Amino acid sequence: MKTAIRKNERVLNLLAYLLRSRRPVTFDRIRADVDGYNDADTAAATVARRFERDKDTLRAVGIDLLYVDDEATGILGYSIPKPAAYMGDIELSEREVRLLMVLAAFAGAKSSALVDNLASACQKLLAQSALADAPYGVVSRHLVYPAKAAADGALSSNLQALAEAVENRRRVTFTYYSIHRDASSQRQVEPYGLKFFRAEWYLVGRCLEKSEMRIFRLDRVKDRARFVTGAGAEYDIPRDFSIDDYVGRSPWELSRKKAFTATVEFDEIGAWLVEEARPAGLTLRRTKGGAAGKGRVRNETAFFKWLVGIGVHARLTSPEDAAARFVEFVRSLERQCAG
Amino acid sequence: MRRLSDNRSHHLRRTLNLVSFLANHPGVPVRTVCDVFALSTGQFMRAINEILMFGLPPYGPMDYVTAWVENGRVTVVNAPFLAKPLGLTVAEAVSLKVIVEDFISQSPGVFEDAAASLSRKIAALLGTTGARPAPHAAPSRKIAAIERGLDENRPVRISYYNRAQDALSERTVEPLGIVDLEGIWYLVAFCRLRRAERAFRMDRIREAQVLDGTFEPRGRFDIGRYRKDEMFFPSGRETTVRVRFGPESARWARERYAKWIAAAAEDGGVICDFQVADMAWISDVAVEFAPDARIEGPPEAVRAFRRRMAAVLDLYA
Repeated sequence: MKTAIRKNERVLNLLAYLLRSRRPVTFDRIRADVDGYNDADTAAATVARRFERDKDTLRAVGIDLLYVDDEATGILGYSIPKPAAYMGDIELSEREVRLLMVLAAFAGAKSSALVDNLASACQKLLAQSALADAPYGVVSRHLVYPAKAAADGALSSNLQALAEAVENRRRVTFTYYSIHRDASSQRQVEPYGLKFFRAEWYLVGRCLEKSEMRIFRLDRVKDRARFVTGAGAEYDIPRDFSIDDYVGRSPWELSRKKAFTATVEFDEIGAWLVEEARPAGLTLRRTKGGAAGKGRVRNETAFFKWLVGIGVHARLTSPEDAAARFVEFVRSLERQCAG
Repeated sequence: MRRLSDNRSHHLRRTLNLVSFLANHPGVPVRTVCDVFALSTGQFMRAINEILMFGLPPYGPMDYVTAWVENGRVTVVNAPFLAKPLGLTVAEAVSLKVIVEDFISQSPGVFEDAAASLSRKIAALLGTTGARPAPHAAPSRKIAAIERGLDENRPVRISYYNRAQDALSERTVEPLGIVDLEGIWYLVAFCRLRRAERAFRMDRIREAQVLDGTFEPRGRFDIGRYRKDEMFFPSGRETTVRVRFGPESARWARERYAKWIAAAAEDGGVICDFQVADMAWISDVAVEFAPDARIEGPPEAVRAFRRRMAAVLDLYA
């Protein structure tokens, strides 16, 4: 462990030294000044190799280490641009601090690239936030466990890569398993957004093979997503794009069939359950004994299944022919689904 | 397998973050530091020792970081140029953003308010547009009551919807923790009615009210026990229910219920034996995959399913 500690100590010394320097510094100056490089007993070539490795380490933690001209002398040297190297001003509320503490604690427990980055982000933000009012026991009593995102597997590394792709507008390619077609194929996608819904992660983007918007479930991406480079690999995300138009829709909205308006009467419990579940595409109006719901239905079977799930707390009131079909549907379930 | 250089940079990054965290929070409890950095006490002491070795030229006695730990609190001074935290890298910012945004629009929105505002702030740092506005600016009354009970060790009266019995019941609980497991929030509490630790789905708590007085936590509560992939603690009283999925739904059933598969069916379907505590749940499974799924037995499961359907049909009689 001793060498690892010494290495860290040396890199910290180098970093602080470069952050302090107002002008670019040459390797010779670093060799003369900084602890860890300035031992006269070590061969120059060894120190130079050490310095190369340490530069890589600094860059790996996201430090923008430049090799630039000193404007005054014209001599090339190393420099870290300031104040860009530091965190910008960001004021956090007590509730945000609470959330960050819970996330930081979770993040440390398991390790994946995504989780390590998450932990580091929380630690940096918490470093410059007032903790005075944060309940110190909060972490031992809160647990956030997005198991899929945390596991050190393809899904979490793809989540990190795709989030960066969305941010940087980078085209990606991966092998995707379509469960409907029961076949895998290579896809090129311009990622527009990511969303977690009902315990699954989804990527929405323009699929170049189909030249259409597509929704991908991340656990069906069968390999590591890779960035596509080269000309034309950049794209823009339309300003009016909203991921909620694609992921999080209610199943009865998802069809190309003609829509009809259904109204449903909910009793007190039904109204509350639906309010809690917040299904998309259903508006609720509170009534005396519960609520009246109204929704545009394209996929009737999906709507019927949803209604059955609410049991005796929901009654389809119109249109009448749909209510009659619903009764038939429940009778068919009774016959087909048990016994 | 992670590459060695990744390990090194991970370690360095944590050390850097630790220096700025400590330099900005003199006298912070060691326990908080261990929480935020996921360190054991031993690891924490090693990290402090490491920090003490760092300084600036000319490396005189005054040029090194100083740190002391007393009464369970730690103070670090004289860490020039490393006290202010370094900026978020794009990778850090997007990982935080993607995880935080998964709290938004989750029911019942335990951290929704903080997640929405935080997401906007990170987006501003990244120079992009943020998440959708939060539907609620503050946590709901129910969540506020539960969090208060948790923070202050106060009993909470809840009205809880039991889906198996399809009924609400009142009970008093002693809140122990809040757990988010793949998007579903649970209140873990000692239930005075059942005299046992229970996990309550927070979206099924209809109302919560903080009661007067405080409670002494019973024994040591370990939230780590809930660090698992699903909230299923078999009691031994579960019923094994067999469901046959037809060839049309077999692929979805295999994907979702891999651990329950008992056999492949001759027609290309799949047979699953579920350990079921709640017949309502297995009815939902059958309905979701209808008409390509069938509860085969035992008879009580079949009867429970038919009863549910009959009750719905009664509404239209």
